[in-house]
Amino acid sequence: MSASDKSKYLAIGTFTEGATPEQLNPFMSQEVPATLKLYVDGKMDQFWLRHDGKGVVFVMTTETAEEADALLKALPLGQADLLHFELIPIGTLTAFGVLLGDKFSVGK
Amino acid sequence: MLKLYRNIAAMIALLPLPSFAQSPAARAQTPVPTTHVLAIGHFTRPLTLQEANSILPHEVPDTLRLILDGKIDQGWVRQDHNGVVFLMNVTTIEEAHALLEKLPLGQAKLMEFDLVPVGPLGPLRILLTDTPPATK
Repeated sequence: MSASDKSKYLAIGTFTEGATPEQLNPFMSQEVPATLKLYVDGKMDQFWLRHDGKGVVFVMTTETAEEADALLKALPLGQADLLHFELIPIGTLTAFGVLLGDKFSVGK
Repeated sequence: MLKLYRNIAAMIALLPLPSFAQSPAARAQTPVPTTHVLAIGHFTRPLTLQEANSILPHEVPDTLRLILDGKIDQGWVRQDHNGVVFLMNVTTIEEAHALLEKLPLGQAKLMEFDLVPVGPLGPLRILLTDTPPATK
């Protein structure tokens, strides 16, 4: 598969409301390597911790939104229903083509 | 004598330990710096063709200027046509907001941003098993 067949998704992860450190901590020894494995496998480009302590943000690179969703739900905190992700499909800032003389096209 | 031992044990418990000696949970929660602000933009309403033609030709070069100024690290368009996403090289939502509201779509109140300060994925620290350089 070429890189062009893949899509990027901004994955905004939020801990389940009311989840306590006591609930989350037992999963970390499994969650962290499972997360890094997604990066090593080329399924995740970038990863950050949210400063508000409410979760994480990842950039996923997968064939489909369904694949990204399945990978994130398979993480230990996802399986335990303690971390949920909102997926936003993202792509190249094609509007920059205007600097090359391209005409603008208004989306839908 | 027992009380003395208890006091010593309590004092030892209060000593700061190097991170490699902390429990995985404690290491996972060690604070990390805020390094970027993720700006998730959405149109406040669909643009008219006239608005697109008059505003967007200015939005693109002004966005490129923020990139060249080192304020925008990465940018993507939302494939759901709802706006753009920027990873900004700023550490406060105030600075991110001030920069983004100066863009033409911001001035026209046609684009709003949710601003999410982010930093390194701190829990990765639990994968470190060697001694930090400062304590070697």
